[in-house]
Amino acid sequence: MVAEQTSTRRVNWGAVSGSVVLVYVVVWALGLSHVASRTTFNRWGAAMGSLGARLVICGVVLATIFHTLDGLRRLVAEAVPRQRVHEMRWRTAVLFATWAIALPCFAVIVWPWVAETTR
Amino acid sequence: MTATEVPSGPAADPAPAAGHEVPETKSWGWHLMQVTSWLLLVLVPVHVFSTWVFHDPGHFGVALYVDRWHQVTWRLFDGALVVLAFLHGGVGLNGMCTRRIHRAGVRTALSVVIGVVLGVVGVLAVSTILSFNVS
Repeated sequence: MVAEQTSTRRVNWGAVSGSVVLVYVVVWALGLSHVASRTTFNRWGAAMGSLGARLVICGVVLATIFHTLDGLRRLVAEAVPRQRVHEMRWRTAVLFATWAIALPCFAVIVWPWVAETTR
Repeated sequence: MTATEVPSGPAADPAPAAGHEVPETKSWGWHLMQVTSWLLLVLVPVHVFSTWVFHDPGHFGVALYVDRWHQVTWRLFDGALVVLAFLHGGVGLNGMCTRRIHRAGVRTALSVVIGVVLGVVGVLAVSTILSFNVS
């Protein structure tokens, strides 16, 4: 009972990352619907070069990678039920792969700002 | 009667334990989530990497889409991404709200708001993607 209560209080990172990705897609789609007014869209695009925007993009990239890999884990577990025995291993692999892919991406996204600033 | 109704949404698992042979009737939402999941598994990473990682975010602008939308494939890709992501996100968010909110009225109102917001933004974005003049 206690274990059950504890597990229900755990943060559902799959849902959190999914929400982040959904908000991103809504904002991106809203931006796209203004692509015809080129000046406004380019002004918005120029703002994406700031450090704050790059860090937000890093967050979106992290959420996307995690939600994708975690979703793949769930789909595999559903398609191949005997893989559920290795659930902890799969979860660990998802976390490891998420950070292994995300960290180089962070460097690629933030580096142009660092190079520009320290020039 | 052994059929059970499975709630929709990404957190609809855990499914019955392995070896438990219970025939299940899955909801339309569950099937929609499955189909969109497999497609988005490819579309979303390709979109995020091609837009923000392989291109410097500082150079984001109309030029990126003018280049991209010269090819019909990219238009279809972006249109499909918006439609599938909104379907997947809408059903997922709705499922999450359904599990957390217990008042039926609030739940219905929230479902309507999610549907209307995603529907309007989706139609706006897809119509722009398909009608944008690249010349």
